[in-house]
Amino acid sequence: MKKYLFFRILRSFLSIFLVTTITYIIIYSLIPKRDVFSQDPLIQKLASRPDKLLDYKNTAYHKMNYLDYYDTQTLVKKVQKVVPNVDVSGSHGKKNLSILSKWAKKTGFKIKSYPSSKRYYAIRNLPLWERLGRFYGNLVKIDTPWSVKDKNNPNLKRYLKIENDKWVGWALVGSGTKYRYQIYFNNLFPFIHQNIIHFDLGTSYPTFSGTSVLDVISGRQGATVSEKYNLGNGVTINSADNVYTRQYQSKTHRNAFDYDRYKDSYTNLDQNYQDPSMIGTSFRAGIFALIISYAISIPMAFFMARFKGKLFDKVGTGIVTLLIAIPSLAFIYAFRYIGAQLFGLPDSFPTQGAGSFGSWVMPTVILGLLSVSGLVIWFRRYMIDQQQSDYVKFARSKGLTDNEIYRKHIFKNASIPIVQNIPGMIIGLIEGATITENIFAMPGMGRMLPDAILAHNNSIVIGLVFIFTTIGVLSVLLGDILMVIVDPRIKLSAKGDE
Amino acid sequence: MMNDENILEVRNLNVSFQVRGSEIEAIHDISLNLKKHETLAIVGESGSGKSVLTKAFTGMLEQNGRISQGTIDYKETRLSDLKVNKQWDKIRGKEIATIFQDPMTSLDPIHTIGSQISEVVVKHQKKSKKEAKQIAIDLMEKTGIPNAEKRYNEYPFEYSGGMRQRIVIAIALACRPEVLICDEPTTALDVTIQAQILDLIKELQAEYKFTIIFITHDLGVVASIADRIAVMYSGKIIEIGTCEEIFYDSRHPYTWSLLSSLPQLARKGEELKSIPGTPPSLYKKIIGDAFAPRNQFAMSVDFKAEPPMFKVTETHYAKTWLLDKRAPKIERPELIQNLHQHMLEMTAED
Repeated sequence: MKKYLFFRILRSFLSIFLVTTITYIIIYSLIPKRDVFSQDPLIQKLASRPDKLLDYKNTAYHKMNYLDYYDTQTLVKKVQKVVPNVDVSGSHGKKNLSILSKWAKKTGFKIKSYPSSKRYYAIRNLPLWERLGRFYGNLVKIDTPWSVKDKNNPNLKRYLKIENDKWVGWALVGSGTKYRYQIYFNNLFPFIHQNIIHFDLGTSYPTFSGTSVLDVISGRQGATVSEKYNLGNGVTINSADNVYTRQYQSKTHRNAFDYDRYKDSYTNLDQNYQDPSMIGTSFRAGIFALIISYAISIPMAFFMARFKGKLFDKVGTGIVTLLIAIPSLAFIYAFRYIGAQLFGLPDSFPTQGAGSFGSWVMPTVILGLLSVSGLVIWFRRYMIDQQQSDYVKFARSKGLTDNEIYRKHIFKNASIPIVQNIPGMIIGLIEGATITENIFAMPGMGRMLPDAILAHNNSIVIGLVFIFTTIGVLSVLLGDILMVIVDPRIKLSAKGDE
Repeated sequence: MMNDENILEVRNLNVSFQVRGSEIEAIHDISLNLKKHETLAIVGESGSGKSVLTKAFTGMLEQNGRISQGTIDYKETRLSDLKVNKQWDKIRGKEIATIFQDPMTSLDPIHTIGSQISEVVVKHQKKSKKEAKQIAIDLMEKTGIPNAEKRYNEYPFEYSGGMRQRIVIAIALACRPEVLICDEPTTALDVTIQAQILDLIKELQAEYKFTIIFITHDLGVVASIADRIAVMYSGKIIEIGTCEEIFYDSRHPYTWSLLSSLPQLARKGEELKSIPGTPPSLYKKIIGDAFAPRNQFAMSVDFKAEPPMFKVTETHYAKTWLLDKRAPKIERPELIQNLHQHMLEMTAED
């Protein structure tokens, strides 16, 4: 089993790699890059200023990893590193051009000039393999005490130690690391957190411009909230800083106020936001929807199968058929109307916000009810199939009562295919429920992929493909492992006959 | 009032099924006594109604089936009056247990062997779980499972077919039943295992003193286990008698045909005997003797009127017009005339 799992995980990684790579290649080779600007209003505005327009476009391409681009200022700096005191900032003649060309030859760049000012800039198309290399090269970042390289701060101590920090309590604290707190604890799920390994899926552009893809997906949203920090000696302060995210900041960037507060170089930090992230919103709604739908459909299917052909079964079948027959859009609107009119629940998520329980009720209940019919049909069927089996006949002949037979034998056997599906259902939750989230204006994952595709936000599309594939492949694996737990006949082994 | 010798009495039993709007009769006017501690074998072709008959004893008829007439009495209980599963729960297992043909599927695949045995012990013998485990292991040893302690925690798929049938028997025994219905318990097993299972059942019967109803279509199996034999054809018992009477002095042409088709009697170079034709369809009303169309000794009366049960001896009855005084004397087929002799010869040859 260990060997099987090892190879299975290896194969999973291979398939994640293949899917992501293929998506990457398709997006960067088949979709023309100028499409990025198809809905950009700035293009029209900049039409009269060709230099700006060119700079704007190239900067965008650069951010989206299509090419490397140095505008005049950066170019001068780069060249000056090799040939000091060269001034190529103007559109000066051939002498400078030859120096630039020499530099360009070495580095693989092309020297071009802006249409109106004739100043030089450098550009280099990135070959696909290099872009891929950068993507995978930057994917996993491991923080070590030697991560920070700051020439202006040669005396930076480099260590990792466990100490009782006055901001976060007991934690693995690093110096010379990018993040101050490598491992820390707090009261948020899953209670133990780490900053050692970070994933980098690129930078989002043009929507959420400049934010890292992972932050877009998993960063918290909404207004900032302050928290009270007790620093001992009767000193307490209120701050919206998320102290757990303290990162190294060089002297030149940091502000005196933060330095005074934290007394070290780790002054770059995120803020605390009140609302869960997009993935968190979808997941939270989804997990409660899942619980609701299983809580309704499993007992319902159980009793329908138990009293097959009786009144309860007939009524249940009627309800299920009705649920299937109604288009989900109509169902969502009808339910939303009823909930708003009869129970006074908010018919839109932002009305009361993520902090209010009421906001969550309708979307989760609707999401849950939408999957009830499918589950009931299948589970009832599985139960009825089990009723016909020989071991049930034998169980009856050995004197077990119907209740015992259903509870101990039929239910457990019928659960096997259902159990295997649970992780698969959870992927669905994380990917979000497009229609429901849209109707309730929930800030979840549902609209993220279509929006990213429409906006040509390549980084987000690739990031989402990567995340969904990973979760998908791993949840199939998890489903199989769960099945091994409930069904002793199934063994995960490399060979069928082991 | 029930005879003290009998544990089960069946009187004029009819069982019918609702099939596609019409009512068909699978069991027709069967009367039968089961004596305490005896082994009664019921033999017949597939579809002759032998399984349906025993299912009626435990209330396990399919949903569309019902007892349309007659009575079944078990000790003081009139089984034919029981309607709901709750009433049957007191009979099934504890009083009458059944083991089925296919041991491969009779056990719940995802519970351990041990838990399936001790579940019954807890229920019927009112023991604690711990005691039940010990009893279960004893039973497993008794039914010939080696390493019972270790194998207690294994699952059915880790057992062979013969082993599973032993477990099924162990479970049935754990119920401490008065009557054990064995519904072709050896059909799915190979010949050597068959013999072992039959021996096991006999041994256990000697120890636990239960009564056996043994359903089979294999007369060879019957010879080694039964005290009495009932031959069924088309939902009726057509001949019933002690083992000796049926084998050496049978009277019904159908019994003759069955005996003639014993593969043990085949001579080298000759084809195996078989009964021509097929059993009659239950959808059509049968006039006269149901076996008549396949009966080489059929008389014209066989196609017109159903024969009554003729008494041959106190223990031997047969339902054929050949026993009527007016019928011509017909010799049994030569092949089975000296059945005893044949059998002896064959065992000598072995």
